[in-house]
Amino acid sequence: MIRLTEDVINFEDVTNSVRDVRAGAVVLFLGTVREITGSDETSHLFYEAYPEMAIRCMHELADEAKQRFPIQAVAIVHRTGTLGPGDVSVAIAVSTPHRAQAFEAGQWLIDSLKERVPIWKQESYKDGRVDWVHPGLDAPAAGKEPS
Amino acid sequence: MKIKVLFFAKARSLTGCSAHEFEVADGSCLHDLTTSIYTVFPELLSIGSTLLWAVNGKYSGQDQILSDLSEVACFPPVSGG
Repeated sequence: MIRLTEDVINFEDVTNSVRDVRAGAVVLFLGTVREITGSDETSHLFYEAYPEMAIRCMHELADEAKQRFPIQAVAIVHRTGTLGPGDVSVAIAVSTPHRAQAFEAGQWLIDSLKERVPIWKQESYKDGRVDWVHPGLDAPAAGKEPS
Repeated sequence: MKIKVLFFAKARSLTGCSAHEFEVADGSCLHDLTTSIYTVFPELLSIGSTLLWAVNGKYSGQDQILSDLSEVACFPPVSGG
């Protein structure tokens, strides 16, 4: 199961999709919208994707994960659109023969997704500020023009 | 030839459009197109060094040769998850 969705992610379905009698472990990772970051209070996040490329990249990640780890099955579902605090933005499930491999594979998958898959979030704060989140590109301080 | 360029996230905010068609000479590479894009949308230069480029849905370097069927995408570092 590899998909983008604008709907609430049913992570029980995501988890069940990777269950396998050859697996002794299933790990589910959920990315959820955090309300407080330092002194900033998040009102909501808007997720945007380049859908065709994002789906292709997620398939490539799943294939590469299967080369790196003894994975029976993998599922990656990412949500787009507007999400509020506590909402699930991404669900990744993996099944492997033993638990250590499942944790490692899950960690590798979410780390790699955040580096490669063309999905972006725009953060809206309760004080009215709105910033695109682009790692390596500093958000302008409130009230200042981008340099 | 005409090349369709898609802009995402902050690149879309800065250009004010999600897609734009550019005219470039046959045999042009991504670098040639990038130069045209910055001429039309100089706003992008403020984040130019961080921009990532994809041709037909694959990350591409500036030496990538384009064809008139190419779909190019321009976007800042990704932040999914």
